[in-house]
Amino acid sequence: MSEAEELLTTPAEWDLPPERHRHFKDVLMQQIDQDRSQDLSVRTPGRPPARRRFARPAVLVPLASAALAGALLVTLSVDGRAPATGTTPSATAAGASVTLNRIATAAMASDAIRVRDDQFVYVRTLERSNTGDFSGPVRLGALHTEERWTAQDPGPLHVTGWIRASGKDAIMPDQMLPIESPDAIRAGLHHPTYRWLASLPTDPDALLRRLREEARPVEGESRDQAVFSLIGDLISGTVMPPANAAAFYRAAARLPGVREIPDAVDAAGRHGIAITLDDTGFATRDEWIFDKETLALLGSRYYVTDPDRGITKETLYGTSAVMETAVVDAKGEVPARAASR
Amino acid sequence: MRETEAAEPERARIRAGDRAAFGELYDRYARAVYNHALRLTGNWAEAEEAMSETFLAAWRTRRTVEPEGGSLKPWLLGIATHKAYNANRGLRRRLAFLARSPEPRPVEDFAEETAGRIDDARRLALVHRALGRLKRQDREVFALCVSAGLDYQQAAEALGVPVGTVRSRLSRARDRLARLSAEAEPPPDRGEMESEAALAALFLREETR
Repeated sequence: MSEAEELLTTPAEWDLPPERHRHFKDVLMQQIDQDRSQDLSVRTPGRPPARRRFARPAVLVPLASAALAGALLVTLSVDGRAPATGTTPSATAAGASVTLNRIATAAMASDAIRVRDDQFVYVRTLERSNTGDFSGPVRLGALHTEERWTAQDPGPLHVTGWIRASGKDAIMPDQMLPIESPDAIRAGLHHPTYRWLASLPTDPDALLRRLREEARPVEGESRDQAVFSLIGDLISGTVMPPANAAAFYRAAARLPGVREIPDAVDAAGRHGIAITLDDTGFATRDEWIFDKETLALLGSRYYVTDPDRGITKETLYGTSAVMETAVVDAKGEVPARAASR
Repeated sequence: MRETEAAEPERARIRAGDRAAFGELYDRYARAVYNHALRLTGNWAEAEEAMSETFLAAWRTRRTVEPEGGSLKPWLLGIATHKAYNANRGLRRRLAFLARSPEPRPVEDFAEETAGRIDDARRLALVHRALGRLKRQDREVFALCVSAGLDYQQAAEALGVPVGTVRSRLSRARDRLARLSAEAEPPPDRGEMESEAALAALFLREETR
């Protein structure tokens, strides 16, 4: 019997070591015990706890099904209204909004770069990322360089770009790796070309509405948090007209819970002002770091808190610094200035 | 006469939030859920995370279980499918994932790992690569029906789609794999392509189930 054949005839081919299973079963049992004790504390004895209503009981499984049927957006827009929308912004939140609007003004004044559909957006970053697994403590890897070429072809494309990492802890160092997808992708959220970004509303309210529709929060994540990380994804490593960049920052300024951090350091050791979205009850928190003088985006930091895997204090699990962004004619092509370094 | 009498008490206990019933549910299905997540993510760490999240989500959504019906495996695998999909969420994570997952590493890269682990890693890379050639929806149906062994009705239940949709996606997946298998023109430096074609051919033989 060939190994492939064996693989198919055995219903469950791989398994975790028993101690991993014990761990994940414990995680489940502890969650059950915790929920049940909370249940009992708010309920008269004798009444079955089974009637407690959860915040999102019926949504999750239909949501899973809808996602698979390709009808996710409709389902999602029903749920996930930001609960904090009505709250008065705190002093720091107001500060963050002011800063984001200043960042937007600076972005508006930056030079417009023209990008053709047959070109690539090149971005070079310095990265440190988690090399541990998802269930244990964070192990930050060594600083390494990542270069990315994003195709500007509106597609649909199976290969939307290329990545090359170099240095210690890089994944498959120095190889040009295709960013490929079995489903051909059109320009959009997952393939943010210059032209697609330029097509987005430049009115911040309209943009925010659009992002709220398109963001896909995962379980436990608020819609605003999903929008915040979506903006983070779209402003970093892309090129877009100044008016669109400004609109992203003004949209972020409208999110309840945005907060300014006076001093933060990016992966390259550069200090700047950071913007974050505060405690959303979700395990992760992102920071975007901006130059104090020019207000240009320097990089970002990512934090995680997850008592289930023993991370009880907020812990850095990734950091990044944008070193260079350019437009080039072909994949693998490096801007002249970088090549001469 | 109901044919699923044996499973009914389990459903009732799950719906009622019976702690022991969830323990049994874990013992019975954790392996199947883990394997399904592995095939869809192609990544050990993400599969672990997806499996753990699947059972937590099952606990939280226990009241959505239909009071009557058969095995709870389709329900769990449906949640797991969603979790595996979410594992690649976020552009940054997605980019890193896509860049690293489709290329199985050459054998010499595994020098420090045990023989069993090398074998596992290569097999996982093969399966993931073969499945990776399918459109997502087709791949999910394929993984549920052929690899995880659900019947059409159960796969439809897991995904919340009509049985006809399961049939058509499965048939599309098989057509695609048949074409891949027929092509079988591996570049000289990529030995695994041959095995991939062989694997695709093997998947097709399952058709008679």
